[in-house]
Amino acid sequence: MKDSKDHESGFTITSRDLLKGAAYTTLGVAMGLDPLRAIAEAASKPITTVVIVRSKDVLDKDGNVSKPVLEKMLDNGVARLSGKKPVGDAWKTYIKPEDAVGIKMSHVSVPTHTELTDLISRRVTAIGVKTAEVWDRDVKKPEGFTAIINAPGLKTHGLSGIAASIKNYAGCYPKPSQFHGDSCANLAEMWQAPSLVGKTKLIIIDALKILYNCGPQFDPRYIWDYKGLILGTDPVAVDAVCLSLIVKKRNEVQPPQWIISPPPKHIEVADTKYKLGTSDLSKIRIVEMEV
Amino acid sequence: MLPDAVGTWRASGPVKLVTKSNIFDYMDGAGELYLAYDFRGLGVREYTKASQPKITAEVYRLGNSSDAYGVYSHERGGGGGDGIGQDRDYGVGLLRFWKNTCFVRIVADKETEESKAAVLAIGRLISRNISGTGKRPSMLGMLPKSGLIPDSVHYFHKHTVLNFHFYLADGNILNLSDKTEALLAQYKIDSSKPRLLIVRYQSTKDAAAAYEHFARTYFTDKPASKASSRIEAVEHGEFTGTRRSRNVLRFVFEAKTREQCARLLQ
Repeated sequence: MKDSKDHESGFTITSRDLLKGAAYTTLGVAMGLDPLRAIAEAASKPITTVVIVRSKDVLDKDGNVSKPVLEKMLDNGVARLSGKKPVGDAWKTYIKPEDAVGIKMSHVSVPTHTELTDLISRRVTAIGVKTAEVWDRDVKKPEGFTAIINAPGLKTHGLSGIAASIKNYAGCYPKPSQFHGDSCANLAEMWQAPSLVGKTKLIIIDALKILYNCGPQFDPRYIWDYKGLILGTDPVAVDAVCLSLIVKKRNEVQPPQWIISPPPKHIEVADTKYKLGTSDLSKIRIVEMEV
Repeated sequence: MLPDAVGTWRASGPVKLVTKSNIFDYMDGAGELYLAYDFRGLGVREYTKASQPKITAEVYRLGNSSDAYGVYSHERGGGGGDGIGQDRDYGVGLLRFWKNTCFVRIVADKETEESKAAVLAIGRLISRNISGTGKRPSMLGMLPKSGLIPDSVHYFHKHTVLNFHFYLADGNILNLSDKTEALLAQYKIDSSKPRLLIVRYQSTKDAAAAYEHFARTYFTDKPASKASSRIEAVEHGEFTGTRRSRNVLRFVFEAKTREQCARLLQ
């Protein structure tokens, strides 16, 4: 990799800048500046909703997935996000029967569970979708889809801070290493690709197991059985919420603060430069459910 | 180097060879952290046994033993001995060690009694198959010994790796490159854990330019100083210290007192 320029994203941020800065910015969250306070105050004028669904029974003691519990989690999550019941109507909020659907999973480190991708496939075909395909690599594949469900795992990442929905398209984008510089600040640019733009209808983060340190290389010492799914339609908001969860976990493991390094600059840049969504936790309604 | 079998575990296929040109295909962005060292190639093999989780063994070849140590120091936790490598770390099904110019990573999809035994056995075999031993980086001698937290030492060249362990700035404000050598370590002093960063440049001129870049970006609210050493109060009641000596820069971060800074900068 060529050495990154200091200002590919337009600004350089030092650790001192973050420690001095606003607690409501994404990067302030990454530095551990009380994400919970931001979440608690988020509801006043939200512009988007993120749903977190958890179940203590979704994984057994060996880490195997309970399909019935996972179904219940996903169905409840989509219903709550859409505000609609029954399940079919909830899904039709995001997917049309005539859509050709791609389900973008990720296979690295904490891969998307096949139980989840299978379930998503079943739900979309149940509403009349004829083509539902799970994929990860293959740059040309998205050209054939009219709707994409972005369904990665969740992990910390040594280049980008964290890897969730924004980074998930690196797997199907030509030469994603071009974005490695400047802490992967410009990952959201991938979302502007003609094969991808405007197609992402729903984000479902597989947070059954979260890698909360190191990454992307798998490190079993830092696997957290979170037993959750995180759903939304705004990828920036979803990733901001994912970040706050990981920060909270890390601060519990190594109090008072276990800073993520590098801070996931790409989330804020996705908001401020690419207008892909909102990274401001004070504008995100977070709904937490237990099933 | 990667055996066909270990006990009742069998390799499930031939050795997969990974080079600089296809490392991202194999491991996505994780490849960048190995390319931050003198990565020369990687051999991968999987091992299976009925009713047991799969084991993946990776042998990384680096251009020199310092970088093999460096990759290990980047990844590791703690532990040593038992005839595997020159330093090794094992936990929860993951074994890592370095020997001569090789770094080795062996991981079971899940830790069981059998998979743990197999991981360690594969590690011993690979270690025996790597001939010779290598020297650790000479810079390690520059670290003060008192209070050093051993497993906190990281040897590297580029700011990609620095940022993985300690966020200083998203930009490369220390002008790190494959031509610089750096050490990052943490110390236990009273109830604090300050960090010491030492960077060795190819020339005094390079060190001076890097220091100027750092000061311009990091000490924007402090008066300019030509002193070879300085200690500044920063946020949250902490202190940051710097010292310049020919082609070497030293930095202390997260110190709770000026005295802690001064002690580590000596």
